[in-house]
Amino acid sequence: MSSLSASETVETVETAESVQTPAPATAAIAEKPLDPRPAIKVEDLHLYYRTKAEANPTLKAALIRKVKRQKVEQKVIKAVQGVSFEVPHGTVLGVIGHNGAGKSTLLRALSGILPPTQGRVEVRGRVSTLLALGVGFNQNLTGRENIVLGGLAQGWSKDQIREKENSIIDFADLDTLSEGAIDRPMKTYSSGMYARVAFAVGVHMDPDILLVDEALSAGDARFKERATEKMLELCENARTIVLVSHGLETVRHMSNHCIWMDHGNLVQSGDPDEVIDNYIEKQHKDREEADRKKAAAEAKEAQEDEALAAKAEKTKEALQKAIGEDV
Amino acid sequence: MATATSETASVEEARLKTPEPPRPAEQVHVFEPYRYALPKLGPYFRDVWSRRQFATHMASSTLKGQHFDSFFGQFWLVLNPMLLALVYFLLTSVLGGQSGAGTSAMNHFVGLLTGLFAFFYTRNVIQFAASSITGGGKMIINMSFPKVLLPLSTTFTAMLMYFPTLLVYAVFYVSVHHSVTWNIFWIIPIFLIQTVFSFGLGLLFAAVTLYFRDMSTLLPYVLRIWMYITPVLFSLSYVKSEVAGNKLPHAILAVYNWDPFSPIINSWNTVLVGNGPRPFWPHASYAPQLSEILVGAVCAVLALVIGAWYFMSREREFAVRL
Repeated sequence: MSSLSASETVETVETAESVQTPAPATAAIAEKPLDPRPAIKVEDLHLYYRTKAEANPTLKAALIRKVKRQKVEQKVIKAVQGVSFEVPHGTVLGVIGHNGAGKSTLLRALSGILPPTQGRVEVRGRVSTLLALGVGFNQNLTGRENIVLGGLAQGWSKDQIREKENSIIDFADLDTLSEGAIDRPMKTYSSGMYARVAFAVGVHMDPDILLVDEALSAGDARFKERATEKMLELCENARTIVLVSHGLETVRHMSNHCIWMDHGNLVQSGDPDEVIDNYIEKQHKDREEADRKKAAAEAKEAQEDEALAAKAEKTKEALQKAIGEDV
Repeated sequence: MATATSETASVEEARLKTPEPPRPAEQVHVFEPYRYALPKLGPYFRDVWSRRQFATHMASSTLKGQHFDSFFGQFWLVLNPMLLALVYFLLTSVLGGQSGAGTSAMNHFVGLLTGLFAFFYTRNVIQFAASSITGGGKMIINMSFPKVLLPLSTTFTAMLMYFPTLLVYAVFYVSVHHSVTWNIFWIIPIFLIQTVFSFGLGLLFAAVTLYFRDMSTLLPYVLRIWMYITPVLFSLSYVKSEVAGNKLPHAILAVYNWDPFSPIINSWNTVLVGNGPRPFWPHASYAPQLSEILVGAVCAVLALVIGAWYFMSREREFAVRL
């Protein structure tokens, strides 16, 4: 059993070498009047996953290892390595980066789900997380019952939920899709309807800080619009939002600051337009480079093929000479 | 939650002239690396208390989701342990020849129900709790909350399943045992002790199952064997009389003596069916032994402390382990 403490040595490290130079120690995001106590303060955050070689940890496997005196091989995946930033109250922070850049891990660290391996995270205010849709929902219960369940899971009391129930139902707006759907079991819902209810519960919980992971991609165009509106409304009420998204246009539209992560490092932090443009440029470059590499590899392969064919021809000729004209 | 400290930063608040957006009673969470250690108990239990409705509501919702809130659902809930009891009745009366001597078949059956229903409750608490963490993966990986709420909720589920069976038991009980003394009220403290004991073990197995996933396969067998070494199918005085008559080896008594659940279930049996070798023995006493209840309570507290310590000192790692 391993602990996640910082002082332990790292056995194997598996991360692709980061192409970018790591970001400076602290990237102050705000140029605006600085709130002396930011909503979120991240200091030199490292978060590593230790994956054991065994896929499923069982007592049987542990006993067999004991008998054979084997040790568990450990791999350490550095999901976030040395990220520091501050988010003032009222900021909508967009987080962008390719798959596996550590965006979701960062968000989980901010919400206190994953303990940091090293570093420190300080969060001021009531946090609501929208990392996955429909957490705590029970498919066999109706939408109305799941609103209560989801709200309770977010840490609210039944009275508080009862107050908001109607506005949540209005926001989810299921009636336009299917009359009376809110009182039917959620297993009968389409995935979009499910997402609507889940999203409605998440944003109505009146958090000081809202952590969102790709939730806006749920629902159809009209609902997306309403969701964006709601998010903007939350921003206006001086809420702090951290938004992880692959939808670059969403980030550009919604956020007033943006950070770009690459292989667990913070690459750039600043104005969304600037950061996103750089990110797109980098992506283009990467793709071109990949194309070039691919082309080069293909050319090389073709050359080798040619050489091989020539060689075979030569061998054939030599054989013919040696054996005579019979072949 | 990693070393979360919540505090109202009112002193700091006063120093600032006007905090820009009004944020009453601001919470501050600090997340730092940790070793295996208990979280700060004050904030932890405050958090648990503020989310207590979540645990109870999730328990009733789980049952509702399986349609156990309807009449027929309840019916199945009761029928299942009854059928199991019937199996054990056949086992003990036909193969063991127990019912023949000195008691009616009905008395014997109610005697069996007494121990079996109580044991099924403990079994459910432990088994449900054991799968609560590995089963609640989506919640754990997406939300920050005191994880002890999950086994707590499954314990409520087990309790809600237990109460209807107790009602049915009461009907059987009254039909064979007409007079009831004040001693019957002992079942309340015994039930509480039993719940604490089961919940403590449930916490332990909930955490252990995360590290050894095959525990969930192993656990039913462990619990089944445990039932046989606890006075569930045979009362303690029956075993004692058999040992005295040299029909059973002495080692069995030692096993019963060292079983931590034995005092609890034996007190339960004593209060309901008397301390005679057979249920409702004519000269049996229905008063439980205080020493036995005390030992049971100590075992329960020990189980809770060990289980809670093991669970809570590791729960911050659960999200990584899932």
